[in-house]
Amino acid sequence: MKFKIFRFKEGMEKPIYDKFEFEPPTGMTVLGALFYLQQNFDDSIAFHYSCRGAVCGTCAMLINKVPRLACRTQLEPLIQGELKIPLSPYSAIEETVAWDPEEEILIEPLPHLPVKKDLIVDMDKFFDYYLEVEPVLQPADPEPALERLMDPDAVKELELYTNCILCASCFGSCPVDGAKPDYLGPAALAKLYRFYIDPREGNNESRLFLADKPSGWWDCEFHGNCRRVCPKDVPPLIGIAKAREKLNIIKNRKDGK
Amino acid sequence: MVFGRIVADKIIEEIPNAEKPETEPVMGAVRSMHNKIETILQRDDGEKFFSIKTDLTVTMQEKFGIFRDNDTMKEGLHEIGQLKERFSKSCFNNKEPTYNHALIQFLELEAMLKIAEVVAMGAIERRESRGSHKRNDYPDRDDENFLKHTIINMKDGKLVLNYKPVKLGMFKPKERVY
Repeated sequence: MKFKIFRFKEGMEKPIYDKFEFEPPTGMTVLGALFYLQQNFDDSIAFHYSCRGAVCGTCAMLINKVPRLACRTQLEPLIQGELKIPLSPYSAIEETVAWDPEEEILIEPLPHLPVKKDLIVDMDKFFDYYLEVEPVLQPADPEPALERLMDPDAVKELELYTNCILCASCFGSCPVDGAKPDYLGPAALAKLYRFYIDPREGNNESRLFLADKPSGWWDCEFHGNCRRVCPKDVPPLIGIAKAREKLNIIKNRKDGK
Repeated sequence: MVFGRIVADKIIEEIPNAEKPETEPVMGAVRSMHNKIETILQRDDGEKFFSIKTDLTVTMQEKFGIFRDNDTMKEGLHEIGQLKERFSKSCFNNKEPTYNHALIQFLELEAMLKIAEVVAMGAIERRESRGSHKRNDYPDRDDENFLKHTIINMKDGKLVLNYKPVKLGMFKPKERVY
């Protein structure tokens, strides 16, 4: 199997692509292949990973032009074309290098974030936007003696969003984030929506207004890439649509309509 | 690393009239680590350490797996010693100052070899079967002699084995029988 890997480090004018070839054993993942390449061909390949099991969200990268977790993506179905995900187009997933999808696995860093080295991107912007939505529970009532109970049905909707592992695959797949660098992006907005619908939360309505600005709820163009690439099936675009709907209702109420 | 720092900063902030902490011990540790890394990066020839990591995995799996006995574990301990020897002369190619994974893995392997030896010593001395650890030469659990924690300390560069009593809680320990 052939591999084409994006290589970049400080001081280079533009990235280069390194080519490797080896026969991977059945079941090997992209992360496994990166370890193999590091150990057998070039120990300077840089990438981030942590849990190796799709829990931590550290190893998101652009694999065959789709943002995915390296640890969760197996090579065989990938090369056989079984893992194709149709995406609404944006510049990073257009042709950046000659690539034969039937012969080669193409591994590049996550789009929309500055590359620090090879497959490692600077996540600061992603986490700045995440902090902007105040991602902690702010209950109104005093701390209960035991615990805050929730209706199981409410938990079901909440879980859709709490499953997020902050891997930034959605951020790297969002055409709007590519075009408008101020846009908070799917993950942060999904997180904000999650606190808006949390029955234990005290500031539900004012939460919505945190992102009531063009670079918040209103810049989403509903491409839906975020949901398609999410390794945890979080649907940011549904949360965004519902938040917009709710904001419109609140605003109309205030206008006396 | 992350939370330790936050907690320490908070403690200093909240203790009234806290004295400014002595930074020299920390800076000294940083310098010695820096020197160590410099020395490692200067090594150019020798075995690439990745193969040692693979061999350590095999040794630990085969000699200290679920079913073990004195003889295979002794062999295993001997192998760990040989791996340590090979490791001391090993190297890697990556000399880059940032995001040097090879260096991180090299340092990890250094620690893994120490831990492997600790595991081996404790396992060999524990002449009983307990939980999922099955010794073919001592098939039964032995609370009389081994209801205790194994503690291994580093003294003058050598590992020293000791034991510590178990604090028993509400439940009396008993053998798990299926």
